[in-house]
Amino acid sequence: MFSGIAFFQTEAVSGTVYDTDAQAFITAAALTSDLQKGAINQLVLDFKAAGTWGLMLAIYPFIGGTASSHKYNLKDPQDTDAAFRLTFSGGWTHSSTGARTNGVNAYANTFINPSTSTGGGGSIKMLSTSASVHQYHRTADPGIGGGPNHGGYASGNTRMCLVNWQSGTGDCDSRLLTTNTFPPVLNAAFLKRGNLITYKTNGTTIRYRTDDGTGEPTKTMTVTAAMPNMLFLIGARYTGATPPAIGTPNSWVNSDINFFAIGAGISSTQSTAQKAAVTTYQTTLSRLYV
Amino acid sequence: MTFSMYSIDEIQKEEIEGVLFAPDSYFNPVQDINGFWFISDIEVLTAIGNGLDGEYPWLLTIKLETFVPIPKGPW
Repeated sequence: MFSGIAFFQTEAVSGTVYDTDAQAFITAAALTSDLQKGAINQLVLDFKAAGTWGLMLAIYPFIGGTASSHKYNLKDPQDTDAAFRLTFSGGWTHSSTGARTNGVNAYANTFINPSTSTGGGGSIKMLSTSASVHQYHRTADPGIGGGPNHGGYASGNTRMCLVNWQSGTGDCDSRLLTTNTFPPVLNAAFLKRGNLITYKTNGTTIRYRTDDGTGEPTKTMTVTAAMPNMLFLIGARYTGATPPAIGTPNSWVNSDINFFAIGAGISSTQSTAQKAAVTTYQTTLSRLYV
Repeated sequence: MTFSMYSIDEIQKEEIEGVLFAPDSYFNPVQDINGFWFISDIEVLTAIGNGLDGEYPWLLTIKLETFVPIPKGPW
């Protein structure tokens, strides 16, 4: 009788049925932990429930503890540039808490070019009137100052796709497919870690969703005249080249990076749901911001 | 702010730039404010752990030096 019970339990665990998109990622990233598998499955379900799964070009869960698992895009877990699989350069540290940059020479190439990249058979695209970037940092950046530093910009810094808290001051002045416009919206009083969602659904207003309460700071910016021909980097900003050349990345991030999503615009309601999804995901994996 | 990084020369930089030092991880030499080339301790130690000192024996002899980063922008 006891062996029968044990057999049933084993079957129940090994026979867990995951969402097909979650299962594809689990297989590609070679996840073996039931906790991690469950976290990925719930993340997929929550994005679908939020209505933002179909708006993302890429979702990077940074799970599994190695470069070979962190590189996969949850939306398309193939080991190709066209699937926006990450390649890591420089001094990254990969662990169960995510991927840590070193603030000196570490960056990841997403191969996402805001001006040309599409997903979902061509239906998903970043536009100057529709874009979002969601990042989660477990730690604040003790760096040396400078501008926002995930993403990049094209010639003459007039076509930009940059997001992040400024490392020195904690200000946030994300230039999400805009020209180079100051001043920042979020200031040093903000957390500078946890969730930071930058999003827009029109050409004039950039919105932010953070872990600083339930507010939604906004900023009016000038839409860039043309989309930047660049590659979106995580951990540094792209500049000084024309894709596919990588140029001279600079403005290095120094932080634990636990999540990243890049895509089309999301609504205020969707941003709230997406933030909750990522918070649940980090909670499950015991890696909330510190 | 300064860092300790492994100093390499121009020839060594050319040898390893864009080369895998671990699965899915590429060397990325960077210049400091004085124009000298450096790679990080993670790259060096991981590369040695993966046996790349056979192909690049100088990985075992390069030294940690003070790296003075180029100040960030703003742009």
